[in-house]
Amino acid sequence: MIPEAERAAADTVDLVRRLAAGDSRAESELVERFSTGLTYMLRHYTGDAALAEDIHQETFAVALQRLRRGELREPDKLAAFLRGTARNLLLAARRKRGYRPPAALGDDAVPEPADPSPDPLSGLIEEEETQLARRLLASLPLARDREILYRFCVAQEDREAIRAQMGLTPQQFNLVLFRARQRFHQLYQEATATGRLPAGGAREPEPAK
Amino acid sequence: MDHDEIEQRHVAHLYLQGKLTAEETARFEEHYLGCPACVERLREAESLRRGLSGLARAAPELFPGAVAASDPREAAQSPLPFSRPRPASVRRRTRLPAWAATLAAALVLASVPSFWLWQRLEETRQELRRARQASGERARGPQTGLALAFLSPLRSAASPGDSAPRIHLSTDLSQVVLALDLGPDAEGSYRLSLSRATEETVLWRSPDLVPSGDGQILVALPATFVAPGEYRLRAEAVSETSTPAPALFAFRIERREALPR
Repeated sequence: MIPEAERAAADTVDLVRRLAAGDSRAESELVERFSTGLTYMLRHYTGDAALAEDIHQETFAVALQRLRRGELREPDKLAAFLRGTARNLLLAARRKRGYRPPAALGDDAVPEPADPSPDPLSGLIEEEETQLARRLLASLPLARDREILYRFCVAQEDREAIRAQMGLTPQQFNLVLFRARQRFHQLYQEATATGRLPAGGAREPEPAK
Repeated sequence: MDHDEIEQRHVAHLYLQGKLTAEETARFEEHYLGCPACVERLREAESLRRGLSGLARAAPELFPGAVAASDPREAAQSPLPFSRPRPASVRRRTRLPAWAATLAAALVLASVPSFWLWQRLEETRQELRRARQASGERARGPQTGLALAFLSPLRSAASPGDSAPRIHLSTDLSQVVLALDLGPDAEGSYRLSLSRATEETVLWRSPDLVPSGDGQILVALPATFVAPGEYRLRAEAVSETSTPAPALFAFRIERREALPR
């Protein structure tokens, strides 16, 4: 295991030990550490901010009760434990609402994420992020970057087909895709950090008035 | 699953496309549950995908070489941009006979209007439900449906029993506003923590809050946040020099009816 992973594992084991000992600060740490990821996962599966928030709270309530009783036998599996707790609560909530479970949310099934329909506030934020992404993509200097990103991320074409048609070896394909994502990522980070878009690049047509 | 694997295998994008196996999905989710950087990458990947879709519709000339999407939903929304003839030697494993592909495309296009209308109707219904539920955050005018309770500190940590202020919730209430009276001598900032009276689990913690001039702090709880029962709000003064005893406030929530979703 790489050193960073070893440190993370040791931190997790220590956190679980402190939770079982009733350390209230450990409870705060648990929430701070996993809240963002748990919220994302629940929204990914529910597409419903209110339901995701309900289950988010229930997950921590249930998990903390069990952790304080020392019920997690393998402390290094804390993330898996939280994930399992959340998924079970989500399944129960869906059954209660009369939803047809998208194949049981067991570990042997790949659950179908909800079609995301954001609440109005999240929708506004999402629209802003989308507009930013569009402008950044238009400013990418290489058309090949846009092409490979579109075909892989949106059209979800077969990787072999994309690779062959673009005349790339498998290693080149991975590298080109990786670099295209990295270029977009850097532009995105700079734009969100500075509030400014990059100069130059292809221009997107103005929206019709 | 580590960051090297996530980056090199484009795991975030495959996850959003639903193309990971169950085992890979579990490993990735267990990783990002505790990794804010990967959650940020997922959000960025979502923005990228939406941005690409929108840009391809608005400016297909920016995507030379891209072919029509294989996903019927994307095909309905995306343009059919310039496509390069495929080399004869390239054979996709899932290639259909030409007549079957044409028939499938015709069926998809024929179903698009009704599918699109149904989808828009469902989206509108969901949006209306959400708007009703969370009106407190998104109100653009005066708000109604609020319950207000003035709370004074408990004289002792013992349960106040029946004397805890009662707040009656009904389906038309969106928020419970608690006015905590810390007294005119309150100064500096405070951190609040909310828990059930009979449990130590903290349901919510506040950032540092500064009381008003008359020593009050107001907290607005969404009505959906609190189930019936007795609660404690603990207000701890943030001080570098001393640790004054925290002030405890109690209240009871009664008769919360199920809210429509």
